[in-house]
Amino acid sequence: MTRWLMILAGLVVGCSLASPDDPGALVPPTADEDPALPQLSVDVAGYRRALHLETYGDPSRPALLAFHGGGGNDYRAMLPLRALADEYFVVLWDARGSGLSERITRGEISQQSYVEEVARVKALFSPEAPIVLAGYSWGGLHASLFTVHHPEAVAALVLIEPAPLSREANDAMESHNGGLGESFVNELLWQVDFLSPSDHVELDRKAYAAAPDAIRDYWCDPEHPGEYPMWRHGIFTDITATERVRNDASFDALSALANYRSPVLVVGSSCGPLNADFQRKHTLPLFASAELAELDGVSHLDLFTPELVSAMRDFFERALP
Amino acid sequence: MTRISCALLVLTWAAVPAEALATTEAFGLPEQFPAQNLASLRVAIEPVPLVELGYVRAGLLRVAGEALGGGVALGAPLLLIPDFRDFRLSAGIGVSFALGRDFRLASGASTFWATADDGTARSDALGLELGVSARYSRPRWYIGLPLRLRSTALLHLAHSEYMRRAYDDRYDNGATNAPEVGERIEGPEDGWYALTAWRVLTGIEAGVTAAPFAFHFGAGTFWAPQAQGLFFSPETGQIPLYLETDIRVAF
Repeated sequence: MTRWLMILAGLVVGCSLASPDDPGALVPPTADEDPALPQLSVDVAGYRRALHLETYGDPSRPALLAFHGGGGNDYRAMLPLRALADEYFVVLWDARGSGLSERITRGEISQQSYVEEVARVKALFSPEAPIVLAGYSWGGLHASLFTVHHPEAVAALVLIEPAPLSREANDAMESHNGGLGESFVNELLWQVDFLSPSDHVELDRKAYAAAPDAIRDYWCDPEHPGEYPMWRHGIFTDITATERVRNDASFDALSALANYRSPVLVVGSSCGPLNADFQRKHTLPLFASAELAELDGVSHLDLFTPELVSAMRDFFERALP
Repeated sequence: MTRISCALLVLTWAAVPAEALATTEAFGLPEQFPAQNLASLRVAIEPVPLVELGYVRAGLLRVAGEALGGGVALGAPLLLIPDFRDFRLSAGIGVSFALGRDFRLASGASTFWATADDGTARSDALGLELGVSARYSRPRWYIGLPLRLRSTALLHLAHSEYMRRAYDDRYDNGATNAPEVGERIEGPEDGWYALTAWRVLTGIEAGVTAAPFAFHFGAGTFWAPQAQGLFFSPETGQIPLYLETDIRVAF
């Protein structure tokens, strides 16, 4: 009865209808739509785009740039790295087209443009001195690509359960959820008649619905998954970056990681398809020298704990002068 | 905030091509089959696997000398039936016109109310489907080329707490570059949204009658508005194919 009244009320007073494209109506607004967000603009791939970016700590300290996970995701899960602001100038940002950064077009997504983006951010906060670069999950791929192109600019590389960095690792990664027998896939298919994917907002909206089930195998207990903190998963960027960046050309470029001579820390959790065992087998051999920190009792999706921060501190104390 | 006026909404509905104003031909009757009452079972992939039960009543009135049928149908995604959250209730009319000795134009129009709950919001969609099909029609069978437009004119969203939490932690994180506080957007907007979805379906179809049964088969593709050309995008539920079979029995 309540539903019928609601529908009737909507029809009667339907003179005030919102549009899905109203900023913030369906998904959190991006930096170009919301001036209250901390942000700056960079010129990359021929476009000036607003990055959602936060800095923590004293700018005179060494810069630590952190690159988030997920092809189109954001750094919300990485906020605990703020704790390193007592020793570093911590810069967290959402890549162009990802999270709360401005949405971008297909032509702006390439291996070169991600390298260029990191270079632009570095130039703003640490134009001369090398940086510490941390990449989480998919962000490990971007951080590694920047490192092979500018090894002199990276004083230390921290890869927090990175996505596959080689063709072999990519092939070895087990496939996961998404079959037509899954409820969340059927829900997505059903909603074709609710919200057409006519623009980024409508696409992004679908990512919220799919995410909990799509990533549940990355939790230690997939039957009782937690809630991964995110603001927005830019699904267009995710799909396009998967096509254009997570490919053989990038893997070929990353073979040069073997020539990188600065300290490398690889972090792995105790469960999930990218766990410490996977990193030991597939990521460590890519480097001439790298160490592995294993975090017990956490998964790929909840490893930003005080233990991770401690592991990074220990590594920095030992590896950096 | 952009507001879409009632006038625009009315104009949009009024812009529906007059020749298509008759529902999905699914609510019409095969002209080969002059029964008064039919029960139907439709199983489709559109692209969600769907099952739909319906009832059609023939001869409600005559339009240009042809019998107009009308009916109702209740459908739900097959794998989501146990959840009792997602379903579609449709009602429509249909009529078939002679175009020549063996050719007919089946046409129909229906409205639907569909619900969904994907964890981000409870959704209620009110929409319209218009369809025509040019058919080569023989006494016991037909083949045709259908064209349908399906549009959600109104969508009501009641967001979940999960969706609201996506708006948390965006401000006041203690960042050294935080801007002066401006107008803040604190959460998603519940309420009615206008013209949120539409798609055009086309393909081929065929039907055969063997009293008291009538069988209908169809397959094709559809086009919907796409962000930057993502025509095929399983990640977002965009699989532009449909298949359908419809079995009707007279009583």
